[in-house]
Amino acid sequence: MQEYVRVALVFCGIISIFIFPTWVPMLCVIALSLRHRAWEAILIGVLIDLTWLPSGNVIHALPIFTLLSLVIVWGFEPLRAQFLLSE
Amino acid sequence: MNARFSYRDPHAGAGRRRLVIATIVVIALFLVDMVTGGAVRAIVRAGAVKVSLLSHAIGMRIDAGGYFSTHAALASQDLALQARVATLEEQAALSSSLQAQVASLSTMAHLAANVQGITAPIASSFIASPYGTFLIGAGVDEGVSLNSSVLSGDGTVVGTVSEVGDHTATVTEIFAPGRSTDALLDGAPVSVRGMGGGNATTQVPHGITVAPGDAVTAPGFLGRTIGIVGHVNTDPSSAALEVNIGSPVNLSALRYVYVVGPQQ
Repeated sequence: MQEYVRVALVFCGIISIFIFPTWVPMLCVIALSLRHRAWEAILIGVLIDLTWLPSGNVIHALPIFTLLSLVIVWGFEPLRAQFLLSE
Repeated sequence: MNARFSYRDPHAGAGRRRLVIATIVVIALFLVDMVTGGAVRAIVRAGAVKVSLLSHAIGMRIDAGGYFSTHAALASQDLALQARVATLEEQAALSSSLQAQVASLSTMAHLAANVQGITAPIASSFIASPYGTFLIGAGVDEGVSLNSSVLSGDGTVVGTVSEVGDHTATVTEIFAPGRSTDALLDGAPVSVRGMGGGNATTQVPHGITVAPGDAVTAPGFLGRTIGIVGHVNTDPSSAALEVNIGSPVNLSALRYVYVVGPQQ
């Protein structure tokens, strides 16, 4: 059941990148990171930036959502390690 | 009693290893993208255009099918009438869509009579991008070049081409967050700072007559209109007037844009 939820969250997160405002896929990233060591959450952040980030110098073209997803996934690691029983 | 119980899963190492690998892959992906000049992004954006168009088509079919009509409305019809109504609604929706396309292309034809350029369809959602960018369905093969101006049917500047692929291009909106544009407001040179969502702000010194509805033009875009004044904050204690500017173009209703060269 948990795997089905994970797959559904990943699918919704990826599709919503192209259709919905950015907070929708980021909600999926947070939901995934709370429960799993989800590399898919990092993938969602990367896809947001690869799709929408304009080219430019480093300061103005910082991949904010990639960095944000990395922070969320790794930031929840102590929480997951302490309280979760899977992965 | 030698209790060595722990809530930590002894098999947690595999998941953590996957995360480390994913982090390294992400960094490598961006490095490859930088070295190749955006090749990875071009592939992702080509896929984004397809997903966006497919979702739009699915949404139209769902609306036309009447699936979300009230239970009472559906219950009063027999199966044959339901199928007939669904077919007629789909045809009406397609007809409305075609009429909207014709109307949009007609304005483009009027613009094309005066300025040489390319008409390109919008290929992505405006609300999905957090950076004030959107995709159009024309690229190098169609004659789009970097830094080309992107206009609406009325000739208002919508943005500029920031990246070009073979058949798609990325457009950065004129009022993208953090983007500054030199403009003229009532003859006074100002710097307009984008805030996203078709909004921008600027400051003008006291003494400049500014009123809501005034057009904001940009010398860098051959004097074309980039926005209109929405609100003027008059604070006598402030050294300058804070002016809020909005785009006169309804971006969410835009279906086609006109791409002209940087010098046109």
